[in-house]
Amino acid sequence: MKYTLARQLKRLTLILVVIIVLFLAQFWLWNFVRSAAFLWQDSRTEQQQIHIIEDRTAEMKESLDLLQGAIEQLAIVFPDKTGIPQAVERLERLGDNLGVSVRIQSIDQKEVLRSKRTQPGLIPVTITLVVVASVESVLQYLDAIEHVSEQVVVTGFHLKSLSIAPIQNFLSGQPQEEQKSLLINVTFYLQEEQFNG
Amino acid sequence: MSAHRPRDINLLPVGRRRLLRRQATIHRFEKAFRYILMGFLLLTILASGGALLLRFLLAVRSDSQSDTILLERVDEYRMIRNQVNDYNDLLGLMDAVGKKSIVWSDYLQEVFDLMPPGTSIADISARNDAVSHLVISGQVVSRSALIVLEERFRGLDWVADVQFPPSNLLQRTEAPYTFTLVINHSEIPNP
Repeated sequence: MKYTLARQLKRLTLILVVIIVLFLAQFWLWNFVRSAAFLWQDSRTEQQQIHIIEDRTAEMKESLDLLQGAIEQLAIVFPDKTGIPQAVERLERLGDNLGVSVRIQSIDQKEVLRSKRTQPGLIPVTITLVVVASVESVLQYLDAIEHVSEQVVVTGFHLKSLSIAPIQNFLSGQPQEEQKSLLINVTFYLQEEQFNG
Repeated sequence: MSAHRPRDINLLPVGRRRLLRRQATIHRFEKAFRYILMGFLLLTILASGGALLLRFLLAVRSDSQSDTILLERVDEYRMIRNQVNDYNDLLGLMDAVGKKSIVWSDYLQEVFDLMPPGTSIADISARNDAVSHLVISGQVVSRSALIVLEERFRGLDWVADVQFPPSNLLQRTEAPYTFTLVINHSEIPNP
């Protein structure tokens, strides 16, 4: 009987010891679980952030593609830096087509226009030219310049000696023999740098 | 006297009865402690299982790289956003340049249409600046024609102001004139 009692006590003690050990282990274990849960939560948050960023990047890429398309189309209107010779040739060719004498007086490159953020900007190139022809041709030439495919701004002009014949003669289509002189400042805007996308 | 039934009569010796009571008490304690032990065991299994599962999931997600991936994605997003901003700025600039443009030939046609009979134009010049203007000089047949011409110029949508020197009014007939038409930039149509 005593043996049984001693065995019972021994077993009880053992259970108590195990309970105490397990009780103490809970602190470490649940702390470990908590830290792993935090890591998991961080990981999930990061994954969510990655998804959000990827979605926004995809949207931004769509906008970029649209803008690239628009800029590519505008490359005709705003040619790149190498477009100066073509611009000069175009002015001369317009003169040839209308039968007017065109003399390029000067070509000046102005300060680059750029907004605060934009790295590449627009280079205004002002071409000063003198046109000599009849009033009708001179005015036609001015009109033709203003309607070229490139974006141009006629920053100034000076049309001289129209005084000989009344303007009605010109408007009524009567022949104008006298040669007139038109000094024009025409500004082309060239893209400083073509975007590569 | 109450009558005891045979099963209520304890014939065991006192020492034996005390021992049995102790054993019963210990047994009750042991039973209770076993429940507690099972509870703790359950908690331990839950904690270990949870920790292992979370660790496994973290390992599967290659958590160590997600920071780097996030930074890469953010950099890529920033780069594209800056590019979009650059494009927008450039388009804004192009739009501004387009708005600055004045189609002088259209304006000249309107000016010519307004000229009273017998009016001549000797000189026309124009400047497209912060204040753009068109300067016309020539000769009109009479002073009244000059007044008519000024009124017509003022009636144009794209003219903000008409300036002319008082000397325009000196001569009654064959009067030389100079008009400066200040351009109303808000009325310039987009090309």
